[in-house]
Amino acid sequence: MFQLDNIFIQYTILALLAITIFVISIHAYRHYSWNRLLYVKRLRLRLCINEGKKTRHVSLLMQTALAPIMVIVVAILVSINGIPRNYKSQFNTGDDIIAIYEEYQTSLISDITKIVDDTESILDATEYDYSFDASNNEALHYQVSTTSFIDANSLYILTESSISIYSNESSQSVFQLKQKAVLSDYLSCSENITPLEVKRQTGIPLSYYQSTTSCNINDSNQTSINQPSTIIFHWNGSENSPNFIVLSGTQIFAQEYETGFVVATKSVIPFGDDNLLIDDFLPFWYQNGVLHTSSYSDIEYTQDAGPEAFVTIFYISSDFSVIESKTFLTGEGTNVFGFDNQILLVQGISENSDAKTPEILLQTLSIDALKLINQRRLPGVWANQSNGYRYNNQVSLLYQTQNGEQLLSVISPNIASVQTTSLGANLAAYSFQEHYLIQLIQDTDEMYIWNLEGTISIVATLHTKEQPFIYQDNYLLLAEILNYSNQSETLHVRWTNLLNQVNESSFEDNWYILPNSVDCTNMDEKWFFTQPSFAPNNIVLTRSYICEDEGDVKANSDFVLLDYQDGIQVDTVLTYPGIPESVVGGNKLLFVQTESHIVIIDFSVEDGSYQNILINKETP
Amino acid sequence: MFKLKVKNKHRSYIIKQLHVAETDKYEYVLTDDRALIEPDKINIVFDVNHINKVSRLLDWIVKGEDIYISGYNEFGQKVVEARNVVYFEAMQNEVYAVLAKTRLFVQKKLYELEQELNAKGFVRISKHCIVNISQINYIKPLMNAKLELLMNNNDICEVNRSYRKQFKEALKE
Repeated sequence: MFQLDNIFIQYTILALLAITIFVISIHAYRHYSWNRLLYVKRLRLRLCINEGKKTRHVSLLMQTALAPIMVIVVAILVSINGIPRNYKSQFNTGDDIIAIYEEYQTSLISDITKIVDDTESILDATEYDYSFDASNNEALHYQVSTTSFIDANSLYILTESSISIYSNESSQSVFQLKQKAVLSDYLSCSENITPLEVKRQTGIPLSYYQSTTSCNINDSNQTSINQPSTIIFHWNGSENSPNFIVLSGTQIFAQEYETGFVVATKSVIPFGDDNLLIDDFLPFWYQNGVLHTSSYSDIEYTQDAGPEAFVTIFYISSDFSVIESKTFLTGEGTNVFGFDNQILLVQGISENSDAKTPEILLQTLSIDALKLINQRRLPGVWANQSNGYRYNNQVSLLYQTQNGEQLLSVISPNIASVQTTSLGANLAAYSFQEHYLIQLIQDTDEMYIWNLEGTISIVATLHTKEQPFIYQDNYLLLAEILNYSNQSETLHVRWTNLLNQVNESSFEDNWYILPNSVDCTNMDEKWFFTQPSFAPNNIVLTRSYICEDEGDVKANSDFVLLDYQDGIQVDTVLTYPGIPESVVGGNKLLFVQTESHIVIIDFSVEDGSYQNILINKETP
Repeated sequence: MFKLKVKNKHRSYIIKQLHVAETDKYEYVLTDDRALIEPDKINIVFDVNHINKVSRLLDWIVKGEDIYISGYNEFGQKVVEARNVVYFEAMQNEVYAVLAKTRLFVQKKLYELEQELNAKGFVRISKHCIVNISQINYIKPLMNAKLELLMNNNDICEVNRSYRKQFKEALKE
């Protein structure tokens, strides 16, 4: 947990241990001597001393005198618990212990590293025939243990120690390893960093959030970073090495901005830390081998904000060559949204402060100078960043009143207008799509579609059991499976194009008989409407089923590709082993993980067909 | 109280059968050999074959005649052997004899009981308590120099610091 590298503390602990053991020993001896006297006296009195009483006396001695010793023994055992038994006899100095601990940590992650190395070496080779059919299950020897993303062109595999990007941009219609990076080439952290997300905006392809508080950048200076940081890798064209920047704080916002993009991060100041050095939390960024730090004079204060967090706006040019930053000190609960040339700060003000009832403080700042332009307060309880949505230069906020009523406010730039409407108290689910809010009502089959442009209003009310609703290319699609018999099922699809004027009559209804699963009996079928799971002109539905095959129970899944370009049609069914754990889709790729396999469908083939890849994660 | 002088080959057997504990200061000599008697002591010369009778004799010597305590509870007057009393305690101006499952109101003062029962293994441990040593199950020394006595009826009696030495002497006798 921590290292004892202070000799004074070491000796103090040893002295305390010695004193404690001495006191306990004296105490135990007194127990023994007094009861020895009693024992002899009882002998003299010719009283029967039976074995049961002796046992009881031992247990009493254990409870009273030896219990503290056991506590010490347990404490010592716990303190050395992280070190393998084989190493115990090799301790000599504190450095030995640290070295052994590091070796132990290395051995723990060696398997993961091996998996990643195997993955990279296998996928470096490009001559594999990736195609498969359901009956063959031909597989690559490939394991993925971490987070994967797909954007318009590429598949990203992010692990704790490496980044790999696979692209199908080549004319060979097979996946090529576009770039890869090993994180340890760039920085060494005391704890593993966590892959966070892939941004789909141009210029922000990868973003890592680092949960540790201590990292060394592997430059000539061995620059040390002691704050939670956002690490961004960016591949630029044909270059083999990525642009690599480190921004202080946790990323909370990213947006295109004139000649580049802006990224907002937040560093929360530890509450109640008496030894806090504010200097340790001043914002910084690391770029092209140089660590840039802010000073107090660079920091502005926002009105009505407690000094609890640094929010830093980083201005990054699209080629990563120039970074600038501005910082303000604000309350911990602040969230950031963006208008075209403004930043909107949203902060919950609790009733414990000056406000008599919970309020939401809205502030707009100019995006370039971070000067306060306008501010306004709304009554209500603000939750977090995920409750806001920006579309077409307006920001929609979803929040609650004290009574649990859901409110929706649509805010225009400069907070010039705030439209607020009530969504009731039975909100089961919601989704912002384009300028619509899709609202599902709890315990009923009602779905409201709100138009957020102009005056907020409900444009369609559906009474439907079709769930979930999925979106792609401006389509809103509702789907349900109808069981007509044990042998066949029918897919009911309702869909509309959100670019057209949406109302009840704009939905089209379609019914399709689904194909039976092959080679299975006694099927217990379940359909998953994974979202988002899209492909060009296709909507992908997934079903999983269990069937018996000569006594073996197997789980298989099907994709059903619905081609909606010429009206929705059942296109193709693909079968793969296992039940999907995650499904992500891009414009050209669809990527599915089951417990044992990875399935990738490549839709980029020019003739409109697709290729599919089945990768076995478990084959050694 | 006793000194055992017997042949080595019988010694462990005799000790086990007689339940005898030897002490540095003794009044009685137990021997199976007339040549080993000590003129200034009380000598008991016995044959190993009569060891059971010797054991009963020793019981009588150690325990002596039973002393009976008379007291009252809700069912009326009771008379109990003193060795069955776990401890006596004084509460306000009344003295109670605490037994395994009951307690009796005793019409005697605590100091009278102390004098009467001193030779029967009772010892004063505080101003308001006399315990029967033979009923002590475990002695638990506390960090504040007091002692806690866990009695056979699971009651706990506390030996005050001022009576601690007296209690220790009683155990050594």
